[in-house]
Amino acid sequence: MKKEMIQSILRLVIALAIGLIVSSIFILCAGENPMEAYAAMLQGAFVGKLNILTTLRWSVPYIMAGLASAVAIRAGMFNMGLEGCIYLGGLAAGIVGAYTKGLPSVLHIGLCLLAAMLVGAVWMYLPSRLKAYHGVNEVIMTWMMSYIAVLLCQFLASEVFQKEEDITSAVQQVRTPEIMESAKLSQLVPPYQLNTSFLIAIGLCVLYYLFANRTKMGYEQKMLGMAPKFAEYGGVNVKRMQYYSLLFSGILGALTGAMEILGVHYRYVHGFGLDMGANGILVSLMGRLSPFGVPAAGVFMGAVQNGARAMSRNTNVSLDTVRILISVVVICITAEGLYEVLKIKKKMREGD
Amino acid sequence: MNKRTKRVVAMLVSVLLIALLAAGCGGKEEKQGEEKEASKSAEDYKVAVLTMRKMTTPADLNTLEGIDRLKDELGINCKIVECVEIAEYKEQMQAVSEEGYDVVYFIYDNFLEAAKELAPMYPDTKYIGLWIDLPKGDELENLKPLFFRPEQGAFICGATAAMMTETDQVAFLGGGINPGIITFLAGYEAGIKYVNPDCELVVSWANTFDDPLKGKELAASLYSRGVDVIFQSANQTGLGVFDAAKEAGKYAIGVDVDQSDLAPDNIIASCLLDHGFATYDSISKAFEGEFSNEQVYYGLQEGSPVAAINEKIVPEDVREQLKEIEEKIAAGEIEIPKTTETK
Repeated sequence: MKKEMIQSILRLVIALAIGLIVSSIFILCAGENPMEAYAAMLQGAFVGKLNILTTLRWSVPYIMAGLASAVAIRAGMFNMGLEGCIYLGGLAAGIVGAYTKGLPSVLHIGLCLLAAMLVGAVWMYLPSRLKAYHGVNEVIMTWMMSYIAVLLCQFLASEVFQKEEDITSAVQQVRTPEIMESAKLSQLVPPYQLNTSFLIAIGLCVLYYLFANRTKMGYEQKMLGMAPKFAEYGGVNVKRMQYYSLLFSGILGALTGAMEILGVHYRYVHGFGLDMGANGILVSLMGRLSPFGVPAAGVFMGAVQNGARAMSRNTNVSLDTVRILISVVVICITAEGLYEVLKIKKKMREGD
Repeated sequence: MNKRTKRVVAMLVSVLLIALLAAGCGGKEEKQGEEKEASKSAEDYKVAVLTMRKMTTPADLNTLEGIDRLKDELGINCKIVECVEIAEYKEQMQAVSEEGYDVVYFIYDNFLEAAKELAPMYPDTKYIGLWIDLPKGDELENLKPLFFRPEQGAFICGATAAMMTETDQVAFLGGGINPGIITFLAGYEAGIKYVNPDCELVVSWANTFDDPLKGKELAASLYSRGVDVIFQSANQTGLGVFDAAKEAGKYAIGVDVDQSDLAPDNIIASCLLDHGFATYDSISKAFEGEFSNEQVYYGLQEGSPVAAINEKIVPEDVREQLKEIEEKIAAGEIEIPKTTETK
């Protein structure tokens, strides 16, 4: 256990170092000092109340999407349709939040989240069913469904739910009416954007830990992901496990979107979850699916994104440089072989 | 082996920590420096320009001209903050407010919600919003709304189109139905009817602001049905209209800036929305201490040009007529509607 943790930290440090070196090259090409850029980034991510809270605010969707993706990957499947679920969940929450009136706050928020989860489950029903019982490739299925979902949300929001007075005058922005006060997740430290969805995300991380490490189903799921044939031989109901894993991935995805809407935007704005699904997959891979790793990776992504914005505000380095950093870090972390090579070299040295 | 790994980890962690500390300290020093030199010379005057996209469209390039002018003439440096994601709007605005920018200038009204929320919290920051038309009673102490009079430029363009058309069929190609674009259409329609009530107006919607190919296709089909002037109000989509005009040898009308250099033989006029002028004017006034929260409209009455006529194509007598119309608008003799039922 301890050794494992040291290993994964070491892996992260190596990946980060390589990522920083590679993106330094690009920053140098842009004619800036990499050290200054990274300093601006660190400062933007962690120095000052606003920056810390914004980092945490951003880590919420990343952690949530990371968990959603992790649930599927643990069972050996990729849910490429997270983005669609995020949008659908957001729209469901936005509509229930705006149109149900007179409920106490807790009930109202619960209802919104429930509606989002339901929509997510309904949307993922088809791909989960087809994957588990009919052997359809889940990557393609969920991916294509995601496009449909995003466009469907755009259509529903602009043609059905958008009100005349919400149409912005200069720029086309698709959005639904503002949600009721009772549906808003309150800010933890007003006026900053961090809100109670942070606590929900932590709670879900704990649940994920309990599920993954303390339940029979969690163990079965892990086995299925690592060795499907062995799991089947060992008596795991593979089909049912795949079905529920994908379904829950969709539900968590929808929850991600709902919490963004109820906590930050206070209305469904189309485009709020840009790349959130893909980033969720990155987070889960970066966190190596572990109940500790995923939240850590989520906070890391939040910090990097938030820091990057500060960096592009205060230096001339473009935001895109950070995408390079993130990509390289993810590649290095997920590259199993990299660490093995280092270990072998060390062994050879010790053998001398 | 275990010991060794531990040592390596400890070393790496300590190096990281030191780097972190160094970065933190470096940052703090900078901030203190800024606070000390609080005198408002041009170099210390901090202006943030918030945009919702990369600054590449015609209107944005125009804004950049204004920003360059601020730098050249007054020495004010503007920091452009591109908020590509919708989720960034409020966050970036809050961040620049917190970082002590003197002026937060934002373009387009999707920032308005954030500005309304943040302006009361940062009373020392001056917020200036372009394309903001605040209703009476919604004014905020430190938020200056700027708006154009697009209907005036569109009216002139409509008049030009009606005078230049040979088939008595002209068209409007909009990027999407929203109040802003409808204002263009209303002015355009009124301008056409003012000159030639028999002239037919065809309206077409692209439903996208950034697809030149779609613009080209739509324009080509409009030209093929007999239309010979198209007024585009569709940002990037509209650039395709000019390609189609070149191929068909017909006329087109540009928007935002004088676009006649894109197709010198086809663009007869451009409806101007001088972002650059608005940017320069409002920020320089704020710098000179003349900031107020009064609504400003940039139009003929305010001495801002609203249309650029291409002198190469449009004959002199037409231009003189147009000048007369402009004078009438400025004098308030022509009432231009801001909305229309035509869609």
